[in-house]
Amino acid sequence: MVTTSVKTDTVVSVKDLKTYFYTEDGVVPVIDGVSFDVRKGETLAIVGESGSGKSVTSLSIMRLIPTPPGKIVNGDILFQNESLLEKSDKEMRQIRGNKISMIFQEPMTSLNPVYKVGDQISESIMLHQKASKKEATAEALNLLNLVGIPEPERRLNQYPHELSGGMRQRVMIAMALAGRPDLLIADEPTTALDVTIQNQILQLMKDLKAKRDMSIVLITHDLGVVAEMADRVVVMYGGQVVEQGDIFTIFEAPKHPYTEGLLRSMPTAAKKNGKLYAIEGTVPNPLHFPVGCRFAERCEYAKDLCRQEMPQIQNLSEDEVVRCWKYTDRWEA
Amino acid sequence: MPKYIIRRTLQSIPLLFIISIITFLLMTLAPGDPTAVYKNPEGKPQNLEMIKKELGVDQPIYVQYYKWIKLLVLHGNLGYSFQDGRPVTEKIMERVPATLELMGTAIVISILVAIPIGVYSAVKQYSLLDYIFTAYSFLGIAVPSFFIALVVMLVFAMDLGWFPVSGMRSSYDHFNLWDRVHHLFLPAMTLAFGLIASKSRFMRSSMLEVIKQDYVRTARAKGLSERKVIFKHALRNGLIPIITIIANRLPDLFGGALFIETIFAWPGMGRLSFSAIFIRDYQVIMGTTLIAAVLVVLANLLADILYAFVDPRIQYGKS
Repeated sequence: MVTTSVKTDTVVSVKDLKTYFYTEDGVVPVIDGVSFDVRKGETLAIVGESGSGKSVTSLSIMRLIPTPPGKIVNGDILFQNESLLEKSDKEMRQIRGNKISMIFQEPMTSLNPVYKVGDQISESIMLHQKASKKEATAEALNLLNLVGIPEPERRLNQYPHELSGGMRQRVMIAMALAGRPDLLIADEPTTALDVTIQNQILQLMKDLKAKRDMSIVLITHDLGVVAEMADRVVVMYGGQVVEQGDIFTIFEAPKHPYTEGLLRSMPTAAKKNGKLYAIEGTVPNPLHFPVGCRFAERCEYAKDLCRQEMPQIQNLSEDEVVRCWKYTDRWEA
Repeated sequence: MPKYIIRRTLQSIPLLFIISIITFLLMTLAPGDPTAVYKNPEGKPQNLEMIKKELGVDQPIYVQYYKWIKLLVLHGNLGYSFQDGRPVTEKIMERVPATLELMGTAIVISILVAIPIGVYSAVKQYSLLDYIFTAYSFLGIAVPSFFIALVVMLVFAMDLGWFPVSGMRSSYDHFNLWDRVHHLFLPAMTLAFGLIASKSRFMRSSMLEVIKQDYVRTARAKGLSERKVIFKHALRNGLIPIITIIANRLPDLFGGALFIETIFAWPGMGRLSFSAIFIRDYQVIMGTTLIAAVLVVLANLLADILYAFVDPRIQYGKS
């Protein structure tokens, strides 16, 4: 039973979301019953391996799932207490890039190569703020200043290929801020960037979050980035949430064996001589998910129970959620 | 940019030179010669020898070529037709307007029709209409234009009688727009039929490539309408490769379509070349071939220049 009450400080509430892809090989349950809340002013990190469904979750919130083959088949997404799934295409367009913005992993290819940077930013401003071309250009200049681009006047008239990767990601962020969003979804925003540039971009996002009073959903597979940025963490595996909790609990006392494994495989200075830990095996093929726990094959604690029956998601405390048999009465039995 | 254009132009001179040599060799080595049309079973062989001497074809090939190129380089003169002794330049110039009219119409129509078809097929991939357009494309590419010409002639001109069978106008007395359009319709449509088939195919694959790009997703994430996403963000990128294809067809504007002009008795460059080849009028063949080669070179240069205009990533003359 999914609770229907929404706390007043919740910006987005994803409830039992299922997004399936209908392919020639069969139905792929890419997102299979995902629930989480994003609270006002927080940064929520969604962590998981490639194929765990984290990007599709964010595209589902934006309602940008390519249909066909993808389709949201179950659940709901509430944004400021209104269902996004019930919105018309037109209403949805007024939310995208305005109330909810998104930045992507590949700054090199996410900007249109044939339009000037300034025009791409002011296009968003004119669309969402009913501004004239001149006002929009002025605002675009403000935004470029805000995201810390040197010589912003010159950049306005440059094309994306004339900017570096870090600079382009700043442009993407400026574009995302055009509509003063309440929620910024960042899908692996620093994965394609150099380490030094990564930190600058993360710092920028932190500053902007405070300045603009937004919430951030940060999708990443990099626990270093999570530690740096997140207030709360959602861990995804095989299209499901396996654990959810605040940053301290996740890092200090992880509950799910998968989260534990993820943390142990993080390289640290202390592990100088040792071999880097790796979770054995690979993510199961979503076309043939096992009936039981999807992580059981790779889990060092797994029992017959784990392989026979899927564990349900349960609250350990108000803020902590886990999907694992270890935390149930049936574990010892 | 000007430097680039000058460099490209200079580079094309040796190319044109080689093309002229090859054409000359192929033409003179082919069986038959310009005097064949004068052959008369009862005539005296001496007469033929006299004509050969007069035309200069009795001399070795390299001497003939030397004379031809000398005239061209020193005087810009393409020589004189073997058939009637008129300057080749003059003969070509009087055929240019007819070819421009026919090919211009066919190319403009094909662009206007092929681009929307290509965009639609890409955006609605695997829809019923996409399948219909695809079937049409295969037909248009596979069936030779002379066959289509004969079919439309048979159906629309002979059986239905909607259009004149051939020619460019009914009378030379006065200009009649309706009459000209009426004559233009069948040959222009026959040419457009094939051009649309290939261009719409290129446009479809180009757009399919573009609409899965990240920046198209970005455009959607901005909240733009699907119309703006496709026609502003995707189309401009999708058109870039099409420009080369269109520019490469520009020489046809002047070269004409050999078969279509001949079948429809259209008095253009294509028919001029065709009849010149038949009667081994070396001078006219060299003239039309050289002009076609120059146009191909120019069209390629034009394509490259246009490229730089539509795609800001391409710049010439900068290291």
